[in-house]
Amino acid sequence: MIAAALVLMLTGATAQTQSPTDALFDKYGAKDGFTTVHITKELFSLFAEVTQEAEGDDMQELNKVVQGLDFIRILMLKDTVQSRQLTEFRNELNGVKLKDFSELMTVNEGGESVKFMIRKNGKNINELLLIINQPKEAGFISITGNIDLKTIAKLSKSMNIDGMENLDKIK
Amino acid sequence: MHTTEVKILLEKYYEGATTLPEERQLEAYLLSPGADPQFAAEARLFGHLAKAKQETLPTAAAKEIEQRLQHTAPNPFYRSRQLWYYVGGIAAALLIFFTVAISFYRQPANTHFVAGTSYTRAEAEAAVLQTQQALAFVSAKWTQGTEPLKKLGTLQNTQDKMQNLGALDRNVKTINHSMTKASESLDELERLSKFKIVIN
Amino acid sequence: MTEQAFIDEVLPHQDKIYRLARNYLSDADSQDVVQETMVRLWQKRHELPGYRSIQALAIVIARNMCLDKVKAKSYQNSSLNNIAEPATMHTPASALETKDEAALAHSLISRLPEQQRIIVHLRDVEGLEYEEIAAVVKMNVNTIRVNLSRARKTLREAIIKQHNYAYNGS
Repeated sequence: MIAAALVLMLTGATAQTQSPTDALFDKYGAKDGFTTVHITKELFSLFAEVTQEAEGDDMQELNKVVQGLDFIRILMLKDTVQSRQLTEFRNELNGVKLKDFSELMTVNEGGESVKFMIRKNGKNINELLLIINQPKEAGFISITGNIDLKTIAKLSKSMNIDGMENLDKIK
Repeated sequence: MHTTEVKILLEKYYEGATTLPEERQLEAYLLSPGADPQFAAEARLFGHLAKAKQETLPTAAAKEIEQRLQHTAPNPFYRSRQLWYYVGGIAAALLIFFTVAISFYRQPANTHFVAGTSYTRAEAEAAVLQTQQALAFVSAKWTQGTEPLKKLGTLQNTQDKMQNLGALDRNVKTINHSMTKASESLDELERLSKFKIVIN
Repeated sequence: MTEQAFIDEVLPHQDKIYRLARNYLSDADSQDVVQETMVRLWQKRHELPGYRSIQALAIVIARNMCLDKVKAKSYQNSSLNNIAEPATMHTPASALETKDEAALAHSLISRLPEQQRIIVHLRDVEGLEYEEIAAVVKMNVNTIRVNLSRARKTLREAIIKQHNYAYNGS
Protein backbone atom coordinates (compact mmCIF):
# COMPACT_ATOMS: atom_id res chain seq x y z
CA MET A 1 0.00 0.00 0.00
CA ILE A 2 2.79 2.39 0.90
CA ALA A 3 4.58 1.55 -2.31
CA ALA A 4 1.44 2.27 -4.25
CA ALA A 5 1.00 5.59 -2.51
CA LEU A 6 4.59 6.51 -3.29
CA VAL A 7 4.14 5.60 -6.91
CA LEU A 8 1.08 7.78 -7.14
CA MET A 9 3.00 10.66 -5.65
CA LEU A 10 5.84 10.21 -8.05
CA THR A 11 3.60 10.12 -11.06
CA GLY A 12 2.20 13.46 -10.06
CA ALA A 13 -1.27 12.43 -9.06
CA THR A 14 -3.10 15.63 -8.37
CA ALA A 15 -5.75 14.94 -5.81
CA GLN A 16 -5.20 13.83 -2.27
CA THR A 17 -8.74 12.65 -2.11
CA GLN A 18 -9.62 9.57 -0.25
CA SER A 19 -13.26 9.04 -0.74
CA PRO A 20 -14.64 5.65 -1.61
CA THR A 21 -16.26 7.45 -4.49
CA ASP A 22 -12.88 8.12 -6.10
CA ALA A 23 -13.01 5.01 -8.26
CA LEU A 24 -16.51 5.80 -9.44
CA PHE A 25 -15.59 9.37 -10.27
CA ASP A 26 -12.51 8.24 -12.18
CA LYS A 27 -14.38 5.66 -14.18
CA TYR A 28 -17.54 7.48 -15.05
CA GLY A 29 -15.98 10.90 -15.30
CA ALA A 30 -14.34 9.67 -18.47
CA LYS A 31 -17.66 8.80 -20.08
CA ASP A 32 -20.19 10.89 -21.91
CA GLY A 33 -23.54 11.64 -20.42
CA PHE A 34 -22.34 12.02 -16.85
CA THR A 35 -22.44 15.34 -15.09
CA THR A 36 -19.35 15.81 -13.02
CA VAL A 37 -18.64 18.65 -10.69
CA HIS A 38 -15.58 19.12 -8.56
CA ILE A 39 -15.22 22.27 -6.57
CA THR A 40 -11.97 22.72 -4.74
CA LYS A 41 -10.65 24.54 -1.76
CA GLU A 42 -9.14 27.17 -3.95
CA LEU A 43 -12.57 28.02 -5.28
CA PHE A 44 -14.09 28.03 -1.83
CA SER A 45 -11.55 30.60 -0.80
CA LEU A 46 -12.99 32.89 -3.46
CA PHE A 47 -16.55 32.64 -2.31
CA ALA A 48 -16.40 35.45 0.19
CA GLU A 49 -15.05 37.83 -2.38
CA VAL A 50 -17.50 36.80 -5.05
CA THR A 51 -20.54 36.95 -2.82
CA GLN A 52 -19.78 40.21 -1.09
CA GLU A 53 -22.17 42.09 -3.29
CA ALA A 54 -25.00 39.66 -2.85
CA GLU A 55 -27.43 40.49 -0.14
CA GLY A 56 -28.98 38.30 2.44
CA ASP A 57 -28.07 35.93 5.19
CA ASP A 58 -27.85 32.98 2.90
CA MET A 59 -24.47 34.04 1.63
CA GLN A 60 -23.14 34.41 5.15
CA GLU A 61 -24.31 30.94 5.98
CA LEU A 62 -22.93 29.59 2.75
CA ASN A 63 -19.54 31.10 3.38
CA LYS A 64 -19.52 29.73 6.87
CA VAL A 65 -20.20 26.22 5.66
CA VAL A 66 -17.77 26.42 2.83
CA GLN A 67 -14.84 27.62 4.90
CA GLY A 68 -13.91 24.27 6.28
CA LEU A 69 -14.46 22.22 3.17
CA ASP A 70 -11.90 20.45 1.05
CA PHE A 71 -14.06 19.75 -1.92
CA ILE A 72 -17.54 19.11 -3.13
CA ARG A 73 -17.86 16.51 -5.75
CA ILE A 74 -20.90 15.45 -7.68
CA LEU A 75 -21.42 12.70 -10.17
CA MET A 76 -24.84 12.24 -11.68
CA LEU A 77 -26.22 10.30 -14.57
CA LYS A 78 -29.44 11.46 -16.03
CA ASP A 79 -30.41 8.77 -18.38
CA THR A 80 -32.59 9.79 -21.23
CA VAL A 81 -31.63 7.15 -23.72
CA GLN A 82 -29.50 4.34 -22.44
CA SER A 83 -31.15 2.61 -19.55
CA ARG A 84 -28.51 -0.09 -19.64
CA GLN A 85 -25.89 2.43 -18.68
CA LEU A 86 -28.06 3.73 -15.88
CA THR A 87 -28.60 0.25 -14.50
CA GLU A 88 -24.93 -0.56 -14.68
CA PHE A 89 -24.02 2.71 -13.01
CA ARG A 90 -26.68 2.34 -10.35
CA ASN A 91 -25.45 -1.12 -9.44
CA GLU A 92 -21.94 0.10 -9.10
CA LEU A 93 -23.05 3.18 -7.19
CA ASN A 94 -25.03 1.19 -4.69
CA GLY A 95 -22.32 -1.42 -4.42
CA VAL A 96 -19.53 0.97 -3.41
CA LYS A 97 -17.79 -0.31 -0.32
CA LEU A 98 -18.39 2.23 2.37
CA LYS A 99 -16.34 1.07 5.28
CA ASP A 100 -15.78 3.72 7.95
CA PHE A 101 -19.14 5.18 7.03
CA SER A 102 -22.28 5.10 9.09
CA GLU A 103 -25.70 5.59 7.66
CA LEU A 104 -27.55 8.53 9.13
CA MET A 105 -30.82 8.11 7.36
CA THR A 106 -32.52 7.44 4.10
CA VAL A 107 -35.26 9.61 2.76
CA ASN A 108 -37.71 7.87 0.50
CA GLU A 109 -40.32 9.55 -1.57
CA GLY A 110 -42.06 8.26 -4.62
CA GLY A 111 -39.47 6.23 -6.41
CA GLU A 112 -36.66 8.31 -5.10
CA SER A 113 -34.29 7.53 -2.29
CA VAL A 114 -31.54 9.66 -0.85
CA LYS A 115 -29.18 7.99 1.59
CA PHE A 116 -27.12 10.05 3.99
CA MET A 117 -23.79 8.51 4.96
CA ILE A 118 -21.09 10.06 7.07
CA ARG A 119 -17.50 9.27 7.80
CA LYS A 120 -16.23 10.61 11.02
CA ASN A 121 -12.94 11.20 12.71
CA GLY A 122 -13.53 11.32 16.42
CA LYS A 123 -16.16 14.00 16.84
CA ASN A 124 -15.69 15.52 13.43
CA ILE A 125 -17.41 14.56 10.25
CA ASN A 126 -14.90 14.17 7.46
CA GLU A 127 -17.19 13.27 4.66
CA LEU A 128 -20.86 13.56 4.01
CA LEU A 129 -22.00 11.35 1.21
CA LEU A 130 -25.42 11.41 -0.36
CA ILE A 131 -26.34 8.53 -2.57
CA ILE A 132 -29.20 9.44 -4.81
CA ASN A 133 -31.43 7.02 -6.60
CA GLN A 134 -34.25 8.37 -8.70
CA PRO A 135 -36.21 6.56 -11.37
CA LYS A 136 -34.34 8.26 -14.17
CA GLU A 137 -31.26 9.53 -12.41
CA ALA A 138 -28.62 8.25 -10.06
CA GLY A 139 -25.50 9.62 -8.53
CA PHE A 140 -23.81 10.97 -5.47
CA ILE A 141 -22.83 14.17 -3.77
CA SER A 142 -19.70 13.99 -1.68
CA ILE A 143 -18.72 16.79 0.65
CA THR A 144 -15.35 16.44 2.26
CA GLY A 145 -13.53 18.45 4.88
CA ASN A 146 -14.66 19.84 8.20
CA ILE A 147 -18.36 19.46 7.93
CA ASP A 148 -20.75 21.37 10.05
CA LEU A 149 -23.90 19.38 9.59
CA LYS A 150 -25.89 21.66 11.82
CA THR A 151 -25.23 24.69 9.66
CA ILE A 152 -25.80 22.82 6.44
CA ALA A 153 -29.14 21.66 7.75
CA LYS A 154 -30.11 25.25 8.40
CA LEU A 155 -29.11 26.45 4.97
CA SER A 156 -32.41 25.76 3.30
CA LYS A 157 -34.17 27.85 5.92
CA SER A 158 -31.90 30.79 5.53
CA MET A 159 -32.18 30.69 1.79
CA ASN A 160 -35.65 32.13 1.95
CA ILE A 161 -37.13 29.31 0.05
CA ASP A 162 -40.84 29.77 -0.03
CA GLY A 163 -42.81 26.66 0.14
CA MET A 164 -40.52 24.81 2.49
CA GLU A 165 -43.30 24.81 5.06
CA ASN A 166 -45.28 22.79 2.60
CA LEU A 167 -42.95 19.93 3.28
CA ASP A 168 -45.19 19.04 6.19
CA LYS A 169 -48.06 18.51 3.89
CA ILE A 170 -46.34 16.03 1.65
CA LYS A 171 -48.22 12.74 1.48
CA MET B 1 26.31 -9.20 -17.89
CA HIS B 2 26.97 -12.90 -17.95
CA THR B 3 24.74 -14.99 -20.17
CA THR B 4 23.53 -17.02 -17.18
CA GLU B 5 22.36 -13.82 -15.55
CA VAL B 6 20.60 -12.81 -18.73
CA LYS B 7 18.87 -16.17 -18.97
CA ILE B 8 17.63 -15.87 -15.41
CA LEU B 9 16.35 -12.38 -16.00
CA LEU B 10 14.69 -13.37 -19.23
CA GLU B 11 12.93 -16.23 -17.51
CA LYS B 12 11.59 -13.79 -14.96
CA TYR B 13 10.73 -11.40 -17.76
CA TYR B 14 8.57 -13.95 -19.53
CA GLU B 15 6.79 -14.68 -16.28
CA GLY B 16 6.00 -10.99 -15.89
CA ALA B 17 8.08 -10.97 -12.73
CA THR B 18 10.80 -8.45 -13.46
CA THR B 19 11.02 -5.00 -11.95
CA LEU B 20 11.45 -1.93 -14.11
CA PRO B 21 15.15 -1.61 -13.21
CA GLU B 22 15.66 -5.25 -14.18
CA GLU B 23 13.91 -4.61 -17.47
CA ARG B 24 16.18 -1.65 -18.10
CA GLN B 25 19.14 -3.90 -17.38
CA LEU B 26 17.92 -6.41 -19.92
CA GLU B 27 17.37 -3.70 -22.47
CA ALA B 28 20.84 -2.25 -21.98
CA TYR B 29 22.38 -5.68 -22.46
CA LEU B 30 20.30 -6.80 -25.42
CA LEU B 31 20.79 -3.58 -27.33
CA SER B 32 24.53 -3.58 -26.85
CA PRO B 33 26.71 -4.80 -29.72
CA GLY B 34 28.26 -7.51 -27.55
CA ALA B 35 25.00 -9.30 -26.79
CA ASP B 36 25.19 -13.05 -27.17
CA PRO B 37 23.66 -14.32 -30.44
CA GLN B 38 21.51 -16.86 -28.57
CA PHE B 39 19.40 -13.90 -27.54
CA ALA B 40 18.99 -12.57 -31.05
CA ALA B 41 15.21 -12.84 -31.00
CA GLU B 42 14.96 -10.88 -27.75
CA ALA B 43 17.46 -8.34 -29.04
CA ARG B 44 15.28 -7.78 -32.06
CA LEU B 45 12.15 -7.44 -29.96
CA PHE B 46 13.74 -5.05 -27.53
CA GLY B 47 15.13 -3.10 -30.46
CA HIS B 48 11.67 -2.55 -31.92
CA LEU B 49 10.29 -1.60 -28.51
CA ALA B 50 13.13 0.85 -27.96
CA LYS B 51 12.24 2.62 -31.20
CA ALA B 52 8.60 2.72 -30.23
CA LYS B 53 9.57 4.39 -26.98
CA GLN B 54 11.20 7.23 -28.87
CA GLU B 55 8.21 7.93 -31.04
CA THR B 56 6.58 11.30 -30.58
CA LEU B 57 3.53 13.02 -31.88
CA PRO B 58 4.42 14.82 -35.13
CA THR B 59 4.96 18.53 -34.53
CA ALA B 60 2.31 19.52 -37.04
CA ALA B 61 -0.26 17.55 -35.09
CA ALA B 62 0.86 19.07 -31.81
CA LYS B 63 0.48 22.56 -33.25
CA GLU B 64 -2.94 21.71 -34.54
CA ILE B 65 -3.98 20.63 -31.07
CA GLU B 66 -2.68 23.84 -29.55
CA GLN B 67 -4.75 25.86 -31.96
CA ARG B 68 -7.85 23.79 -31.48
CA LEU B 69 -7.64 24.16 -27.72
CA GLN B 70 -7.41 27.90 -28.06
CA HIS B 71 -10.79 27.81 -29.69
CA THR B 72 -12.42 25.41 -27.30
CA ALA B 73 -14.12 26.52 -24.15
CA PRO B 74 -13.82 24.43 -21.00
CA ASN B 75 -17.05 23.06 -19.58
CA PRO B 76 -18.67 25.52 -17.24
CA PHE B 77 -19.18 24.22 -13.75
CA TYR B 78 -22.82 24.61 -14.03
CA ARG B 79 -23.93 22.02 -16.51
CA SER B 80 -27.16 20.50 -15.60
CA ARG B 81 -29.72 23.09 -14.63
CA GLN B 82 -32.50 20.59 -14.56
CA LEU B 83 -30.64 18.42 -12.15
CA TRP B 84 -32.29 19.60 -9.02
CA TYR B 85 -35.78 20.06 -10.29
CA TYR B 86 -37.20 16.60 -10.17
CA VAL B 87 -36.67 15.95 -6.56
CA GLY B 88 -39.99 14.83 -5.21
CA GLY B 89 -41.90 17.26 -3.10
CA ILE B 90 -39.31 19.92 -2.89
CA ALA B 91 -39.37 20.64 -6.59
CA ALA B 92 -41.43 23.74 -6.04
CA ALA B 93 -39.10 25.00 -3.39
CA LEU B 94 -36.06 24.57 -5.55
CA LEU B 95 -37.70 26.28 -8.47
CA ILE B 96 -37.99 29.41 -6.44
CA PHE B 97 -34.51 29.11 -5.14
CA PHE B 98 -33.28 28.72 -8.64
CA THR B 99 -34.91 31.93 -9.76
CA VAL B 100 -33.33 33.82 -6.94
CA ALA B 101 -29.93 32.37 -7.64
CA ILE B 102 -30.13 33.15 -11.33
CA SER B 103 -30.55 36.84 -10.76
CA PHE B 104 -27.40 36.80 -8.74
CA TYR B 105 -25.63 34.89 -11.44
CA ARG B 106 -26.54 37.41 -14.07
CA GLN B 107 -24.63 40.21 -12.45
CA PRO B 108 -21.99 41.51 -14.78
CA ALA B 109 -19.01 39.27 -14.48
CA ASN B 110 -15.62 40.53 -15.35
CA THR B 111 -13.61 37.90 -17.04
CA HIS B 112 -10.30 38.75 -15.55
CA PHE B 113 -8.71 36.31 -13.21
CA VAL B 114 -9.54 36.88 -9.61
CA ALA B 115 -6.27 38.15 -8.23
CA GLY B 116 -3.77 35.50 -7.28
CA THR B 117 -5.93 32.54 -8.28
CA SER B 118 -6.50 30.21 -11.18
CA TYR B 119 -10.07 31.20 -11.79
CA THR B 120 -11.97 33.92 -13.56
CA ARG B 121 -14.72 35.70 -11.79
CA ALA B 122 -17.35 34.05 -13.95
CA GLU B 123 -16.03 30.63 -13.01
CA ALA B 124 -15.98 31.52 -9.34
CA GLU B 125 -19.56 32.71 -9.52
CA ALA B 126 -20.61 29.55 -11.28
CA ALA B 127 -18.94 27.54 -8.57
CA VAL B 128 -20.83 29.49 -5.92
CA LEU B 129 -24.05 28.76 -7.71
CA GLN B 130 -23.30 25.10 -8.08
CA THR B 131 -22.32 24.86 -4.44
CA GLN B 132 -25.48 26.63 -3.36
CA GLN B 133 -27.54 24.20 -5.32
CA ALA B 134 -25.77 21.17 -4.01
CA LEU B 135 -25.96 22.31 -0.41
CA ALA B 136 -29.57 23.38 -0.80
CA PHE B 137 -30.35 19.93 -2.02
CA VAL B 138 -28.55 18.32 0.87
CA SER B 139 -30.20 20.63 3.33
CA ALA B 140 -33.67 20.23 1.88
CA LYS B 141 -33.39 16.50 1.85
CA TRP B 142 -32.18 16.50 5.41
CA THR B 143 -35.10 18.62 6.48
CA GLN B 144 -37.47 16.42 4.54
CA GLY B 145 -36.15 13.44 6.38
CA THR B 146 -36.28 14.87 9.84
CA GLU B 147 -39.50 16.90 9.59
CA PRO B 148 -41.86 13.98 10.22
CA LEU B 149 -40.20 13.29 13.51
CA LYS B 150 -40.87 16.84 14.54
CA LYS B 151 -44.50 16.38 13.77
CA LEU B 152 -44.79 13.69 16.33
CA GLY B 153 -42.97 15.49 19.02
CA THR B 154 -39.95 17.51 19.76
CA LEU B 155 -36.60 16.04 19.24
CA GLN B 156 -34.54 17.56 21.94
CA ASN B 157 -31.66 19.36 20.34
CA THR B 158 -31.76 16.92 17.50
CA GLN B 159 -29.11 18.63 15.49
CA ASP B 160 -26.76 18.64 18.45
CA LYS B 161 -27.53 15.03 19.15
CA MET B 162 -26.87 14.22 15.58
CA GLN B 163 -23.41 15.50 16.14
CA ASN B 164 -23.03 13.01 18.90
CA LEU B 165 -22.13 10.26 16.60
CA GLY B 166 -21.83 7.50 19.09
CA ALA B 167 -25.55 6.87 18.96
CA LEU B 168 -25.61 6.71 15.24
CA ASP B 169 -23.26 3.82 14.96
CA ARG B 170 -26.30 1.64 15.10
CA ASN B 171 -28.32 1.35 11.98
CA VAL B 172 -30.73 4.12 11.42
CA LYS B 173 -33.57 2.69 9.45
CA THR B 174 -35.34 4.28 6.60
CA ILE B 175 -37.67 7.02 7.60
CA ASN B 176 -40.72 7.07 5.47
CA HIS B 177 -43.14 9.86 5.16
CA SER B 178 -46.15 7.76 5.82
CA MET B 179 -47.27 8.57 9.35
CA THR B 180 -48.08 5.03 10.31
CA LYS B 181 -44.56 3.98 9.62
CA ALA B 182 -43.16 6.96 11.47
CA SER B 183 -44.03 5.65 14.89
CA GLU B 184 -42.20 2.43 14.18
CA SER B 185 -39.21 4.44 13.16
CA LEU B 186 -39.44 6.46 16.31
CA ASP B 187 -39.40 3.33 18.40
CA GLU B 188 -36.30 2.38 16.56
CA LEU B 189 -34.73 5.74 17.17
CA GLU B 190 -35.71 5.68 20.79
CA ARG B 191 -33.75 2.55 21.23
CA LEU B 192 -30.70 4.59 20.48
CA SER B 193 -30.08 5.45 24.08
CA LYS B 194 -28.63 8.89 23.60
CA PHE B 195 -31.77 10.10 21.87
CA LYS B 196 -34.47 11.59 23.90
CA ILE B 197 -37.70 11.76 22.01
CA VAL B 198 -40.52 13.45 23.80
CA ILE B 199 -43.95 12.75 22.45
CA ASN B 200 -46.43 15.52 23.14
CA MET C 1 -7.00 24.03 -13.58
CA THR C 2 -5.52 26.97 -15.42
CA GLU C 3 -4.40 26.98 -19.01
CA GLN C 4 -0.81 27.00 -17.88
CA ALA C 5 -1.34 24.08 -15.54
CA PHE C 6 -2.94 22.20 -18.40
CA ILE C 7 0.05 22.90 -20.61
CA ASP C 8 2.42 21.80 -17.86
CA GLU C 9 0.58 18.76 -16.61
CA VAL C 10 -1.70 17.43 -19.29
CA LEU C 11 -0.18 18.15 -22.68
CA PRO C 12 2.96 16.12 -21.85
CA HIS C 13 0.80 13.02 -22.09
CA GLN C 14 0.21 13.60 -25.81
CA ASP C 15 3.12 11.46 -26.97
CA LYS C 16 2.07 8.64 -24.71
CA ILE C 17 -1.42 8.72 -26.14
CA TYR C 18 -0.07 8.80 -29.68
CA ARG C 19 2.12 5.75 -29.08
CA LEU C 20 -0.77 3.90 -27.49
CA ALA C 21 -3.15 4.67 -30.33
CA ARG C 22 -0.63 3.41 -32.87
CA ASN C 23 -1.25 -0.07 -31.55
CA TYR C 24 -4.84 0.19 -32.67
CA LEU C 25 -4.99 2.63 -35.53
CA SER C 26 -3.22 4.19 -38.48
CA ASP C 27 -0.96 7.19 -38.05
CA ALA C 28 -3.66 9.61 -39.15
CA ASP C 29 -6.32 8.12 -36.91
CA SER C 30 -3.91 8.02 -34.03
CA GLN C 31 -3.28 11.72 -34.38
CA ASP C 32 -7.03 12.23 -34.31
CA VAL C 33 -7.30 10.30 -31.08
CA VAL C 34 -4.64 12.44 -29.48
CA GLN C 35 -6.43 15.58 -30.53
CA GLU C 36 -9.85 14.39 -29.37
CA THR C 37 -8.45 13.19 -26.07
CA MET C 38 -6.74 16.50 -25.42
CA VAL C 39 -9.89 18.38 -26.33
CA ARG C 40 -11.94 16.28 -23.92
CA LEU C 41 -9.45 16.82 -21.14
CA TRP C 42 -9.35 20.53 -21.90
CA GLN C 43 -13.10 20.71 -21.67
CA LYS C 44 -12.93 18.98 -18.33
CA ARG C 45 -10.00 20.97 -17.12
CA HIS C 46 -11.83 22.38 -14.14
CA GLU C 47 -12.70 18.92 -12.93
CA LEU C 48 -9.23 17.52 -13.34
CA PRO C 49 -8.07 18.29 -9.80
CA GLY C 50 -10.64 15.74 -8.73
CA TYR C 51 -8.83 12.89 -10.39
CA ARG C 52 -6.14 10.94 -8.69
CA SER C 53 -4.24 10.38 -11.88
CA ILE C 54 -4.58 12.51 -14.97
CA GLN C 55 -2.30 10.10 -16.76
CA ALA C 56 -4.72 7.27 -16.09
CA LEU C 57 -7.68 9.38 -17.14
CA ALA C 58 -6.00 10.40 -20.38
CA ILE C 59 -5.11 6.82 -21.22
CA VAL C 60 -8.58 5.54 -20.39
CA ILE C 61 -10.23 8.15 -22.57
CA ALA C 62 -7.83 7.44 -25.40
CA ARG C 63 -8.19 3.69 -25.13
CA ASN C 64 -11.97 3.92 -25.27
CA MET C 65 -11.71 6.16 -28.30
CA CYS C 66 -9.38 3.71 -30.02
CA LEU C 67 -11.74 0.83 -29.38
CA ASP C 68 -14.67 2.81 -30.73
CA LYS C 69 -12.75 3.79 -33.83
CA VAL C 70 -11.59 0.24 -34.43
CA LYS C 71 -15.14 -1.02 -34.18
CA ALA C 72 -16.43 1.69 -36.47
CA LYS C 73 -13.92 1.10 -39.18
CA SER C 74 -13.73 -2.67 -38.84
CA TYR C 75 -9.99 -2.79 -38.62
CA GLN C 76 -8.49 -6.22 -39.06
CA ASN C 77 -5.94 -7.06 -36.41
CA SER C 78 -3.87 -9.20 -38.68
CA SER C 79 -3.52 -6.58 -41.37
CA LEU C 80 -0.26 -4.69 -41.49
CA ASN C 81 -1.72 -2.20 -43.91
CA ASN C 82 -2.96 0.51 -41.67
CA ILE C 83 -0.61 0.27 -38.82
CA ALA C 84 2.81 -0.23 -40.37
CA GLU C 85 2.40 2.37 -43.05
CA PRO C 86 5.24 4.27 -44.66
CA ALA C 87 6.12 7.58 -43.05
CA THR C 88 5.04 10.87 -44.53
CA MET C 89 7.22 13.16 -46.58
CA HIS C 90 7.55 15.93 -44.07
CA THR C 91 9.20 13.89 -41.39
CA PRO C 92 12.95 14.46 -40.87
CA ALA C 93 15.18 11.53 -41.75
CA SER C 94 16.04 10.41 -38.23
CA ALA C 95 12.41 10.51 -37.27
CA LEU C 96 11.60 8.46 -40.36
CA GLU C 97 13.83 5.68 -39.17
CA THR C 98 12.29 5.75 -35.74
CA LYS C 99 8.83 5.76 -37.17
CA ASP C 100 9.40 2.79 -39.40
CA GLU C 101 10.92 0.65 -36.75
CA ALA C 102 8.36 1.81 -34.24
CA ALA C 103 5.73 0.73 -36.70
CA LEU C 104 7.17 -2.77 -36.53
CA ALA C 105 6.65 -2.83 -32.79
CA HIS C 106 3.11 -1.54 -33.18
CA SER C 107 2.16 -4.07 -35.79
CA LEU C 108 3.35 -6.89 -33.53
CA ILE C 109 1.57 -5.52 -30.49
CA SER C 110 -1.58 -4.80 -32.45
CA ARG C 111 -2.06 -8.49 -33.05
CA LEU C 112 -2.39 -9.28 -29.38
CA PRO C 113 -5.78 -9.58 -27.69
CA GLU C 114 -6.72 -6.13 -26.51
CA GLN C 115 -6.12 -6.57 -22.81
CA GLN C 116 -2.66 -7.98 -23.39
CA ARG C 117 -2.05 -5.30 -25.96
CA ILE C 118 -2.61 -2.38 -23.67
CA ILE C 119 -0.79 -3.96 -20.75
CA VAL C 120 2.36 -4.85 -22.66
CA HIS C 121 2.36 -1.42 -24.23
CA LEU C 122 2.03 0.41 -20.93
CA ARG C 123 4.79 -1.69 -19.42
CA ASP C 124 7.26 -2.34 -22.21
CA VAL C 125 6.91 0.86 -24.19
CA GLU C 126 5.79 3.37 -21.56
CA GLY C 127 7.57 1.82 -18.58
CA LEU C 128 4.68 2.24 -16.17
CA GLU C 129 4.71 0.62 -12.75
CA TYR C 130 2.10 -2.03 -12.05
CA GLU C 131 0.10 0.33 -9.87
CA GLU C 132 -0.05 2.87 -12.68
CA ILE C 133 -1.22 0.20 -15.08
CA ALA C 134 -3.80 -0.94 -12.57
CA ALA C 135 -5.19 2.59 -12.46
CA VAL C 136 -5.95 2.24 -16.16
CA VAL C 137 -7.05 -1.35 -16.61
CA LYS C 138 -8.63 -1.79 -13.19
CA MET C 139 -7.21 -5.25 -12.60
CA ASN C 140 -5.16 -6.48 -9.71
CA VAL C 141 -1.41 -6.73 -10.09
CA ASN C 142 -1.41 -10.50 -10.44
CA THR C 143 -3.81 -10.47 -13.33
CA ILE C 144 -1.70 -7.81 -14.96
CA ARG C 145 1.39 -9.98 -14.56
CA VAL C 146 -0.36 -12.93 -16.14
CA ASN C 147 -1.45 -10.86 -19.11
CA LEU C 148 2.02 -9.40 -19.41
CA SER C 149 3.60 -12.82 -19.36
CA ARG C 150 1.33 -14.12 -22.10
CA ALA C 151 1.83 -11.05 -24.23
CA ARG C 152 5.61 -11.17 -24.00
CA LYS C 153 5.70 -14.84 -24.89
CA THR C 154 3.45 -14.25 -27.87
CA LEU C 155 5.62 -11.38 -29.04
CA ARG C 156 8.71 -13.53 -28.84
CA GLU C 157 7.04 -16.27 -30.86
CA ALA C 158 6.01 -13.74 -33.46
CA ILE C 159 9.51 -12.34 -33.76
CA ILE C 160 10.97 -15.79 -34.12
CA LYS C 161 8.47 -16.76 -36.76
CA GLN C 162 9.00 -13.52 -38.59
CA HIS C 163 12.74 -13.89 -38.81
CA ASN C 164 13.17 -17.64 -38.76
CA TYR C 165 15.70 -17.63 -36.03
CA ALA C 166 17.15 -20.94 -35.03
CA TYR C 167 16.16 -20.99 -31.44
CA ASN C 168 17.68 -23.52 -29.10
CA GLY C 169 15.16 -23.63 -26.28
CA SER C 170 16.18 -22.32 -22.88
